[in-house]
Amino acid sequence: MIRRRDFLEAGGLAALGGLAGGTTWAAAASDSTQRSLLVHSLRPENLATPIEWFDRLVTPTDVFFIRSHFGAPAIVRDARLRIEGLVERPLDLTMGDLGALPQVTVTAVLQCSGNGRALHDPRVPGIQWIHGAMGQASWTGIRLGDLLERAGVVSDAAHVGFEGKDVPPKPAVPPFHRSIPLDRAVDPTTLVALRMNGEPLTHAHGAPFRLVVPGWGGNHWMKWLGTVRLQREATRGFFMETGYRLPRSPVEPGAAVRPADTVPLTTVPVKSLIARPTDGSRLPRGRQEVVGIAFSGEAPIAKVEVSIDAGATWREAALEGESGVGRWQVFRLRFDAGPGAVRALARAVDRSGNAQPERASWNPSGYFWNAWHSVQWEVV
Amino acid sequence: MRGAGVLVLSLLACGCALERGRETPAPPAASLPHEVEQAGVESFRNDCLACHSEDLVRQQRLTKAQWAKNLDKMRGWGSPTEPENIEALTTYLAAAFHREAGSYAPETIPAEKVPALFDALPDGPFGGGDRERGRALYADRCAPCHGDDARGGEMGTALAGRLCLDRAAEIAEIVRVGRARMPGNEETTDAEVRDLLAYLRSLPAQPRN
Repeated sequence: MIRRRDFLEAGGLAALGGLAGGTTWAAAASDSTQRSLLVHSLRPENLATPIEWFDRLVTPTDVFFIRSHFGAPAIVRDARLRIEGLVERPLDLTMGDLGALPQVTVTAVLQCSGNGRALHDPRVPGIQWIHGAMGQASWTGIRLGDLLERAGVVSDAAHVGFEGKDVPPKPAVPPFHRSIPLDRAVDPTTLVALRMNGEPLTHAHGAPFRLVVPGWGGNHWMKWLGTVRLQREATRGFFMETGYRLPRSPVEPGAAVRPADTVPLTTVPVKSLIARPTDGSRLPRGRQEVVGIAFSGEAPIAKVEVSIDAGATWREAALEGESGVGRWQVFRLRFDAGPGAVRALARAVDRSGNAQPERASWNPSGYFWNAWHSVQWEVV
Repeated sequence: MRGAGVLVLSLLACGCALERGRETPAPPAASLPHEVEQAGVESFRNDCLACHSEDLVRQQRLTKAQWAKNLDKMRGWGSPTEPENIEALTTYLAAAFHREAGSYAPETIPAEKVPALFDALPDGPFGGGDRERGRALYADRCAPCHGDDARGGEMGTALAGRLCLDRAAEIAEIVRVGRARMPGNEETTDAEVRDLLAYLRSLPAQPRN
């Protein structure tokens, strides 16, 4: 069912397409026979989106990356969402109850905080994502703030905890429980999603309910959500106090970092990525087109620049799509080239002035790789 | 390929049957004494693959110190590696999946086959069992490893609330063929699987904390 040959054939086809005169990876990727995911692990399920899909505003659900810590839970048949803890009126809501509430749609990037881990040097343990643990979708559901208003938040609540239905494989494995501060929970973009790209959420993507926290790392976007709990304090445990944290200030690559010197990761740093041409491809002489996406969890994108002379000069790429925090736009730059090797670099800046760095900031768990992306291809 | 470098694994994952017959790359030639490699591979198969598919390990590129630290974490999380096997397992992993082991190209799966990894399978001959008979059967044959409450024990993984309960045919095959340290029992009848499933499905999906 899974064949390494597919991987090789796909690369071979792209090369042949280039030689034959202009068939690009995009065309190959759109062909239904080429739709695939990269398997990082089958158990638990961790599958990545191939890079050539990052040339468009919305990532189709069937090729959207899938992340799980413990593997998917049993399929939830009597879906309920409980809101409890420091509330005046605990709620126990069915799918019907939630479907009857006002629905909001937000288009936002979901990126695993470990995306690009394999590119950090020195290497660190974890799923060795390269580029494919991200995607952009439209998410439809109820504003979490609306639900909290119905429940009536008690005044000393300051954090909102989330529990999914996935089960740790052993009793000693800490549960994947997370929390976010109350002010982030009531942000109008924070949703309990029931739908993704216009269709009901699939089990792979967290059905029946998934938290959506635009601009923040994917570890906050709790899948298979069952319980929302209003709390005085942040949730404790491994996945809050050890995992998903960054050094308080930058460290030397390979340095040991004490837990006391770490802070929780939240917003996704500014990033751009080139989808096409793909690294190592061959393209006919003449018009070349560099296409990719750019986003930041801090602010809308201000500009994306592309260099084709190893960073000596930069040209501003055209941006497509609506801008927003945690929302990606497509960038595109066209130029002419004769035969020979071409290397393109891309870098983005957001409207708060955050600039994508030439080198990513190394950290012990390999989060948030966002270095300038470099792609080389052969013009023939 | 040397010694025990080739693993023909009878792995039937909860959630997928794609793991059979995969190969573990042999460590660089002449880097390990045969007995160490053999003990390491054996421990890898028994202790890591109960919870992880092999690909998760094969993609890592870590130093021996990093492997040791990770193994320590996994033992804290319930990996049953015996103390006397730790050194062999660490040595094997560090020899096979080290920083200079080359790039790792993930395999691909056609998008159309992905939903099947997450779907419920038809119960077929395994539907409509008797919960009470299943409870007794579970206590007798499964609880010693998987725990009284089916949330995992010293050897076995959690079963309650997991996707495997929606995939009866795969459960039946694991019970009959075995996986990692779990011995298979080919004699297990359809009726026994049916009753076990009825019991496991009746357990609460989540512990309350």
